[in-house]
Amino acid sequence: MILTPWLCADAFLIEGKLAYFLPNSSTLREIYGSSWLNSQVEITHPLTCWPIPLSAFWSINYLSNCGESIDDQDGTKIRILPISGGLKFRHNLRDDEKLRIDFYAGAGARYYFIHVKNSSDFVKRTVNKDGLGWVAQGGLLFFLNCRVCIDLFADYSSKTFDFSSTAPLVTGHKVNVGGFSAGGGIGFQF
Amino acid sequence: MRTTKTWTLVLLLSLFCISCRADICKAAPPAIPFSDPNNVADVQLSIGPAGNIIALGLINPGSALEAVIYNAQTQTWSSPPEMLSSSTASDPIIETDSKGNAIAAWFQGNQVWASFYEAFNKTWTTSQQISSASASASPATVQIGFLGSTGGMVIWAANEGSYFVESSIFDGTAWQTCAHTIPQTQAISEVHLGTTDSGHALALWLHGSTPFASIYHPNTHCWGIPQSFTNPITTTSFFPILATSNAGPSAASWLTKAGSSYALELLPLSVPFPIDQYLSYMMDSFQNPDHFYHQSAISPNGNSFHLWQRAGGSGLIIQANSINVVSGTGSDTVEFADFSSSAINPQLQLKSDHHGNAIGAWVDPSAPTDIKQATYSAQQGTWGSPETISGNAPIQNLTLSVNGAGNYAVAWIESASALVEFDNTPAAPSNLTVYEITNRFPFQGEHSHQLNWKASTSPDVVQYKVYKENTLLTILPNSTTTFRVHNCPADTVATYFVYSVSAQGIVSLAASVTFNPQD
Repeated sequence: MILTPWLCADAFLIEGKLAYFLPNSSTLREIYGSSWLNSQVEITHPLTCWPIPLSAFWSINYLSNCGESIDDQDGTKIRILPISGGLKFRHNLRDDEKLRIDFYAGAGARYYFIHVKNSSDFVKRTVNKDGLGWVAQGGLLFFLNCRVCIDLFADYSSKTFDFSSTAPLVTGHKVNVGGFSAGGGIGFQF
Repeated sequence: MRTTKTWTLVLLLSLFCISCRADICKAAPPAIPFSDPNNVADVQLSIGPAGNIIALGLINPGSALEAVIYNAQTQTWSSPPEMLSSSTASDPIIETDSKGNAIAAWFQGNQVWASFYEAFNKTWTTSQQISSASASASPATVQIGFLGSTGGMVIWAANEGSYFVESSIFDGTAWQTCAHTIPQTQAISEVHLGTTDSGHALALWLHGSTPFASIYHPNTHCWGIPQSFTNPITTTSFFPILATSNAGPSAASWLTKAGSSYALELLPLSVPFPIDQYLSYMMDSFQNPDHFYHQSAISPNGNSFHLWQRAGGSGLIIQANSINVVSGTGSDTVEFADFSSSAINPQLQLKSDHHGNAIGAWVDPSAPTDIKQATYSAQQGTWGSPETISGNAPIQNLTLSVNGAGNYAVAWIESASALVEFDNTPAAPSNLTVYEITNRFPFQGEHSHQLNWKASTSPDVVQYKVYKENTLLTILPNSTTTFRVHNCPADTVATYFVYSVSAQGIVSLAASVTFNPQD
């Protein structure tokens, strides 16, 4: 109740998003290609309207891809599960009888869970790793009515994992598992 | 009744085997089937890439020169012998190229004659005089080399009032006696020839007591101006030996004298080589030898081998050494024998293969009916203990030949018969190469070494054994000529050896290759 004066009229926003993901790492691009599908569920909760309209967001992403090792073309599969949380600035650009458009931009922490399976007897077949990175995002919300909106967005994330000592006689490498995403989603506000 | 007979036979066989000594039980080496195998005055041989052996024999009386060829696949000698010279031949030599072609050269009077053997057609060209009629050639200076696709070369020292080295090239169809070195004032001796696949040739000789060298250029068909390259700190040089590998480095070795100190020195060379760049390795030093005799050989990987006898107040010593002229590393000098006798027996032969192995053979000075044979293993990096081939009469005209794969043949005259002993080991694989592969996964990389080789030329090879240094990595069927060594440490030098194994389980000499991340 203490926070009531600071709350906006807007309520929770839950979105389902699909995006094209381009990894930062040229190695990941070479092994798995440059076309990744980034699936995401995001919840946005308004925090304040004044002095700036801020919302908190939580999201969970899922990325998965299959590829071939560089040189020997052994099969490899990667799954990335980033869980993010942060703050969004949200600003209304237009609000009339026909359409309401909001712009938002935000940033936050992103915790990565990585799972890789390699089809080779000469490296570790299964690699699991997790760690904290960051994400920045921006987008436009097109409200079709008071409940439903279309979200066009882009985000950039970064996290470098160091695999320097994975196994004897196997060289480990530093790899950035973040990248650039752009896509769209549909949201329900209630 | 049958049981009694069987046991009697077993008993007799057991008694026979217990009583006979190993050297008595060993089958006598076969005689080379010249037309008159019991009247052979001299024998020379060369073993080709597939293990075929071409043997030259001087037959008494009359000194006819004959050639016979041993086919390693059928294990038979050619018959009848090819008559290269019907009479008055002397000082024959023969060399084989990497395709099995051969050149035979010999003296008739004071002239050099030669014939070319074409392996594909199994034919000899008509014997022909190749030295200038106006000059007198020196016996024991004739040398043979092969010039890649250009053909083969024979050189010799000649005297026409002045002294020079003359050469003749067989270009596939005819002999071209086309070039000689600039004449010099003193008699030429100790002539040696090295040739390259690029068609260059390097001749080394002793002019008086000074080593001189000259390069033959295939573009100009000329010998360059002879240059001396005596060690500047010593006053006298003796017995220069040139060791060359057709597709690798060359080296010269000789004895030098400074005061009463003698040293056996080694000079790496390249063709064309900078003679003025003096960089030598001292292999041995000693005081006042009464007699000295040495031989040198070199492999394409730079392993140079040296085998020598020196005799002085303490008797005769036979020693060997190996130095890699590329890396400068080598084995310590080993001593094979120390005899109280001070007489040198110059029947000392040393040859190397393409894999960095070598074989030395000599007549035992204390037992002139025995041949000693020692092998240098590139894998072990050491000389092995000498083995003995026991004869029944004094050994004469010892000759040794080793092909690129490491097969050897040794022949000698014993009681006027030419005897031959050769290994029945399969030919080693050839063209062994290694390169690194880095198999990169998203977060891991694995370094591996890919080995490839050409199959052994021996028909009875059933397996290949692959070693990394002294560790057996795998045994592969003969249909496989590649192997991948996984999980190799990055930036680490590794040497690999591949052996052929015959159906009888006999293992060849090694083919070796070194992976160096700096290369």
